[in-house]
Amino acid sequence: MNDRNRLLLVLAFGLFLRFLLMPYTWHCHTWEQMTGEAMRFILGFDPILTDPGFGLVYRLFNMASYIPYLVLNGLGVYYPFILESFFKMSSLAGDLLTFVALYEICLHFSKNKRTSIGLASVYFLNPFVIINCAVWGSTETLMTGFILLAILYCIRKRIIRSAIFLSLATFTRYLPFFLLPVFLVYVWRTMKSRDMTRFLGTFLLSCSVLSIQYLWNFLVLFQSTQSGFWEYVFMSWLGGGPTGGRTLPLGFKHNFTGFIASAGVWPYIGSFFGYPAFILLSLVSMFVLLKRSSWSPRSLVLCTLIFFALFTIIYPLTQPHRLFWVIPFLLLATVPSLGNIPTYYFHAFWISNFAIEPLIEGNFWTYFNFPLQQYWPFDNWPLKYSLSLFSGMLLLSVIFLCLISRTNLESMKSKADFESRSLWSIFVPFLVFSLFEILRVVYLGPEYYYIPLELLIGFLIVANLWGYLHESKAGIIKCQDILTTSKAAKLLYLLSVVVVLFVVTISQVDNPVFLLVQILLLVSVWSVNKRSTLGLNIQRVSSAVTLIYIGYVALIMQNVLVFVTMLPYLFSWLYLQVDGKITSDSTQSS
Amino acid sequence: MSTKKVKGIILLLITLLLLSYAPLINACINQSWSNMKNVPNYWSWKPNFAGQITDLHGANSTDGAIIINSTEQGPSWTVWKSDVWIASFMTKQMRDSGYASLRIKGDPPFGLTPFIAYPGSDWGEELMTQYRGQSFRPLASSLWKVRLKIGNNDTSPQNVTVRLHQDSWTGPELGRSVESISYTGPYPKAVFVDFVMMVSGLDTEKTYYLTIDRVGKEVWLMSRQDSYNYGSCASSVNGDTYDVYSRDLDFKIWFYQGKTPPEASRVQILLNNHTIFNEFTLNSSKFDSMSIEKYLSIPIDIRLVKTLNLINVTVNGAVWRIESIAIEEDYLFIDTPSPFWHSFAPYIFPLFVLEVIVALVAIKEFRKWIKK
Repeated sequence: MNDRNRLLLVLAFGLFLRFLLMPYTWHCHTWEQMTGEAMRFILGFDPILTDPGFGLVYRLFNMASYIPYLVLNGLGVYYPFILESFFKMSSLAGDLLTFVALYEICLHFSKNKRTSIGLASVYFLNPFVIINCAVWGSTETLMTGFILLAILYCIRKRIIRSAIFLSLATFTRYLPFFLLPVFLVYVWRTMKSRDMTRFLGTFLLSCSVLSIQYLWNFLVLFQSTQSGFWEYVFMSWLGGGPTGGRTLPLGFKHNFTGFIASAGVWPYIGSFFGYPAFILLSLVSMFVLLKRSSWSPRSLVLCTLIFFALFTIIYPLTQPHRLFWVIPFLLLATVPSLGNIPTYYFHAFWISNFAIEPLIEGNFWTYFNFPLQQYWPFDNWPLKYSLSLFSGMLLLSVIFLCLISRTNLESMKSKADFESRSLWSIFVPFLVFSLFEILRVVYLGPEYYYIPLELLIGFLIVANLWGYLHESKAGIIKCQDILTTSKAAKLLYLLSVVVVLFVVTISQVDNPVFLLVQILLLVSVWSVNKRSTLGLNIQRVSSAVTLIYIGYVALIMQNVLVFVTMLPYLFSWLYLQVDGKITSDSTQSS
Repeated sequence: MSTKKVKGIILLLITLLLLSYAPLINACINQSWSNMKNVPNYWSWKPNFAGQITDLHGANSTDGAIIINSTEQGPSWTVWKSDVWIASFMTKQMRDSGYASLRIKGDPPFGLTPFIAYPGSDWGEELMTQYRGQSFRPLASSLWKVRLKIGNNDTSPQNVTVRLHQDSWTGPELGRSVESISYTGPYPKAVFVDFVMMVSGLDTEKTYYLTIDRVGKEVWLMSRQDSYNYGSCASSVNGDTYDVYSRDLDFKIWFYQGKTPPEASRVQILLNNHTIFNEFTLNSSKFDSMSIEKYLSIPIDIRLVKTLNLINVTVNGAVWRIESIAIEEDYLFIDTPSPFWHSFAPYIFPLFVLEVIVALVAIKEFRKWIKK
């Protein structure tokens, strides 16, 4: 079968599934979107005030969904399912754009048509993506499609087109505006300086055209209430919505925030989540990435991935459809010459999020009854939040992997040769730490305000261990040293698992299932050093299950001791992911 | 695989797709949406509006479902929660049994302040609607009463029209009710208006639509603040944490099972268990009545406070058990012009032609890309 036929088949099958589901599925997300737009199209409500966060492009696509329906109304046909189905067309357009852009970008990097078709197919035939399009009808893919096209044309040095697509993405959702500096610097560093002016000029011109309808409303808003205007601009217009970062995120199931809030520590560390932290961290991350790697097309893709991954992790109100800001870029980063992120990261990410919220819930604002909900095995809150912890940790690992360039890693690895250090040097501090924690909880009680202190102590112990292992002088370690060894990481990981499981056991979880899981985990963890494919897969599964299990136990027990002992474990888990990837890369390259 | 085979597969998929649409086409031909019942109900994720409950005014639910039972063993419905949702309800079972029980399912716990409309209360007729043009299915009654919460900071009377449509919100009009609103006063900065219209012969199998228009100067807007006010207005019990956004707030405290403190009680609202946030002596004027609920309305300007932690209400020094606290934020009323599509109905056919042209160009470009 030639490549064109392969592409046609993928497209045909993907479209078939979507068109099959579209008229037969009604999701409250589509319904909400539809009634919201009805409010604006039919009743003429002000979109700036009623639905901030979406721009004119979004409205135009939705209006295009309305028009055929209204034409049918004129002919005496009033079936709402027609309108509902039409409302999913924007999402379909987004999927097609993303499909094309993924194929072309992958082709640019891999130079292999078959690989590109494979990658685009993984996206287009993915159940999560299909459900997003055909059931939810979410238009988020439209924005990612435009961003991907902007990247594609930027790579091809088609500046004007790239700027137009970036402005279209910005006026679908306002968030991509923050990617403008990345594009500008890329153009500036890789092309002529006048190209940057052209890019900026086209972008601004295009934005002006797209925002012309709002200018008068802005003026009226500003004249009516200046405080309201600024609140609108800063808090809502940039795509956040009113609850971002300022409410107790108990129900947020797709990043760390729901887990943290359920653990009861949100009042203490909640202020680290939200827009300011996101902006700051994305700036730092991009700086690190661009400082470490030379300016190349891959920088554009990785910067975008980091940007959206950080948003997903840090911004409290992450709704399921917003995950589609990350998914195409995460998939693209699995291309070996681009990000070389392991493929199973992508699959683990969407599967875990699918398990958290498959079809049974709408979104943050809307709820509805799904008859099969009671049979969904993941429909209990500790499991959902522990899955979200896993999903968040995966994204964190992805960010780290994007930030670390391979050359730096190899030079760092050559410095480290951990072979014969005593196990006691790791074991004893951990034992002391655990004993301290047990005594503290027994005698001082589980007050939450100790947690930041414990976090600090835990981190210092871990950091010092690494420092000690690498024989740094006077216990001072460089950040680079933390990323230098693999055996130490595995030992540390194993040890932290043992410690957490030990704590779980002494906390009287007298459930034989838990005991069985613990034994299985311990057995599987021992397979860490196995080099076979089976061993590697067991290692991956065990690391995923261990994290989910420990998160789950911590939530149902609400035991501060488990939370505290989790911290070194989380550090080492993250480290193991990054380090394992680096090791496999080095092995392959050697 | 040859190109011929690929084309064959694509043709097969198209045929299968058309066959799968047979029930839909059949339903359309018969002009009866009820034929769609043949479609398995687990595909119906859209909420069934019949028999649903609630004004979720003040709901701050972040997880779980809200299930309304007419009796313990009776049928239950999950409420489709929206940020701007105004509704009242009465099921047939409720009308027979005379009471409803509200069961809140879901974890972790969340706050909810429902206005339960009992039979015979002033706004508890058979209606489920929303003020932005929402569909519903009638139960049996021909009396329709709509309650709207309308913000108003204008002293001039305003005309608001509520219309009932068949089939869609642009379909044939079945009934209409017009009310003139005139309201001034510092609190509450919103006024409830009831619209009553008499409509008979409604089909319980059909879906109807309600739209609300206003005439004259635009005075009520579902501004962000407005919708936020409804959707995320903090509402919970003693000891919870609230995040406060801005402006002055209107506290409403619902007392547990209607047990209000005696008059002349000294009421303190404490912040973080020690800071006295508000203190006053209770008298009858402090109480306001809304529906069947008794609540204490406490308007406070706390524009400088960003977060309220651990609110407790004490009466004469002792913590008083209360049902819930609702904090309403002030409205933001802005008279902004409507966008350009406010009335795009006259341009529908030209727009449709334009849309078809754009779609054809897009399809052509896409085909070119595939061929490449």
